[in-house]
Amino acid sequence: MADKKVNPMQLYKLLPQTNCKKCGMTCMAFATRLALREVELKECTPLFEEEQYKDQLTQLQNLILPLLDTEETGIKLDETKCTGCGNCVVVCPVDASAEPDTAFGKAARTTETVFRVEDGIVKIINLEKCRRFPPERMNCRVCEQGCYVNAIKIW
Amino acid sequence: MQDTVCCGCSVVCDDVAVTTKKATLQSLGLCKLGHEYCNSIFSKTRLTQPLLKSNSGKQKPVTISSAIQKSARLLRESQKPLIFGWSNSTTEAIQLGLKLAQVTKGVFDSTASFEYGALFDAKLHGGETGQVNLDDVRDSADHIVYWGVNPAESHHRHASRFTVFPKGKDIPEGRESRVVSVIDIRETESMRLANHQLILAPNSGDVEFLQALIAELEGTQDHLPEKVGGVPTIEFLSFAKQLRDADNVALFYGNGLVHSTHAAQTLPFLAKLSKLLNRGNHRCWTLPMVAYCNTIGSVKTSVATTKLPFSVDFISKGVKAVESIQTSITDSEFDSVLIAGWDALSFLPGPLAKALSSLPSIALSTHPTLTTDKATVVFPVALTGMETTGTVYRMDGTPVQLQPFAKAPKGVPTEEKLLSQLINGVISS
Ligand code: SF4
Ligand code: SF4
Ligand code: SF4
Ligand code: SF4
Repeated sequence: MADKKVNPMQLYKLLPQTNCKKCGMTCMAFATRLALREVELKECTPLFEEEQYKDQLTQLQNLILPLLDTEETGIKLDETKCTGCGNCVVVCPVDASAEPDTAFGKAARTTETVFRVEDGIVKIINLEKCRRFPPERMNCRVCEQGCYVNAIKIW
Repeated sequence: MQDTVCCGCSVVCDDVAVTTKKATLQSLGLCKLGHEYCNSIFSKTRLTQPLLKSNSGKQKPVTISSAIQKSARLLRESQKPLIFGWSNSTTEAIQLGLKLAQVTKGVFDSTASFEYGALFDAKLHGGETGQVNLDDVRDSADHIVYWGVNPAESHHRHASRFTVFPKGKDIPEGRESRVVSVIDIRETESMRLANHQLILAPNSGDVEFLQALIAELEGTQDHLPEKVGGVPTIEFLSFAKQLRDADNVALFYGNGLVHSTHAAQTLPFLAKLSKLLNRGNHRCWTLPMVAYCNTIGSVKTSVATTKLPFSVDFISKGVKAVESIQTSITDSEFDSVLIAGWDALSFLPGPLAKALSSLPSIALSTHPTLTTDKATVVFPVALTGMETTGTVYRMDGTPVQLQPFAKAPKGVPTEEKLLSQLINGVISS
C-alpha cells in the first residue's frame, strides 16, 4: 500500500496549535506521536468540537489515512446492519471502472471491485483501491451516503 | 459458482451466483434476504415425507401414493374446494392449480387478491399489472417515486438494480441524473438520499395530497392551505413541479397506499394522476410493489386462462368471479381447501385464518408452517427456484426462467409433479 510515512510538521501545521493540553501533551508532541501512530487523532478533542477547525480536521484525516492499516482505515462496515442491498457496489466509482456492469445495477462478480456482496452481506475486498487513499486522496463518500441503513462509516 | 435466479422477493434477481460446499451456501450478489431464502435448502426442518392426520388428530407419515389417494378423495367429495395460495409457485404449477380448480369445480384464488385486490377494483392496471419494464425504468426514468413502501426494508435490491442508483441509457450519472421522492406516513430508510421526503398525515393525508396533486397538474388549484395532507405547501409545490417536468416518472406504490383506510378513493386518484402525467412525450409508469416472486405470475396465468385475475369460481359452464373471497371464506362457502406456495394461515387476518383452519385441508409446503400444522394432508415439495425449473414473473411482469442449483431431498416432488398426480387422481377415480 501507499507511503506510510507522514512528516510531523505537516501534521503540526494543521493542529490547533493552542497547546491546550487536552490531549495530555503539547501540540508538537502530539503531532510527533500522531505520525508514529502512538496516539489517535480523536484525542485532540478541540479539532472535533470546534467548527473553526473543520477544514483542518478533514485535511488531517486525509493525511493520516495511509497510516492506518486495513483494520482501522477510513472505511468501516457494520455487518450487522448491512442488508446486502448493493447500493454501495453500484455507486462506488472505483467499482464502475473495475467492473462496469455494476454501475448499471448488476451485482459485483469479479475480484476487482472495492465492494462485493458475499453471502448476503457486503465485503470490502480491495480497500486500497478506494479513492480516499493515495494517490488520489479524494474526499469521496458516495458509498457512505448511498447506504440506507448507515452500515458504512467513513472518517 | 453457478448462475441462479433468486425467488426471495418480487425483484427476482437473475445476476447472482451460488455454490454449495459442505452443506453451506456461498453466494455472490444475493441480498441478505435472498441469501437466507436460498440457504433454506439446508434447513434442518425441511419436510421430507407426506403426512396424514389420523383419527386421533395427530399427523403421521404415509406413502406419497396413499396421501394422493386420500387427497383426491377429499377434493372429489367436496362441493366447493378452495384452491389457494400460489405466489411462491412456478407459473407451470399455477397452471395446474387452475386445472385442479376446474376439474374439482372449485374456486381458484391467490395471494394477489389479498395483497393487491383493491387496485384491480380501481382499474388502475386494467385487470393486468406490469405494463412497464424495470429495465426501461433503469434506462430512462428521471423521477422515481416510492409511495407507501420502504424498499430498503422490503425489496433490498430494487433501488440499486433499477431505480435510484444505477446508470442507464438516458441516465448518464445514475443517482445524480434522477429526482427521487419518497412518500410515507413516517420517516423511512428509503428517504435517505431522496430529494423529496414527503411525510403525510396518517389517515386522510394521502387522499388530500393526491387530490391537490391532480388539481395542480390540471391547473384547477385555487387555494392551498399551509399544509397539503400534512406536507408543507412549499414542499408539495416543488414536488409537483418536478413531477410535471420529468420526462419519465416511475411510481412504485405499496401497502401503505393499497391498504390505507381510504384505498377506495386513493387508488382511483392514483390512476388519474398516472394518466395526467402520461401526456405528449412524457411517461408515467405506475407499478405495485408486490411482495412475492410470482404474485404477478399468478395474476397473469389466471387472466390468460380465465380472463379473471384471481378469485375464479369454476362453475359447470365456464367461470365467474367470486365477489368477495373474504366473505366466502367467513361464510363457510368452502368445504375443503388446498394451499400451495403460501403459508396462508400465518399471513391471513385472524377470522379468515380461523375459518380456513377449521376445513379439511391439503397443504403443499417445503417447511412446517402454521398451515401445515393444521392440515389433514401435508405434501413436502421442492423449493421454487433452487430446486425447480420453470418460470416466474418479476414484479414488472417480465418472465424469468429459473436456474436451479440443488436437488430436492429424496422422494420430494416439485409442486408441478405433485399437482399433475393429484389431478390424475381426481379424474381417474
Ligand atoms: S489537544 Fe490538540 S490543541 Fe490541545 S494541546 Fe493537544 S494537540 Fe494541541
Ligand atoms: S469512498 Fe468512494 S471510492 Fe472509496 S469505497 Fe466509497 S465510493 Fe468507493
Ligand atoms: S449500501 Fe449499506 S446496506 Fe447496502 S450493501 Fe452497502 S453497506 Fe450493505
Ligand atoms: S432483492 Fe429479492 S430477488 Fe433480489 S436477491 Fe434480494 S431477495 Fe432475492
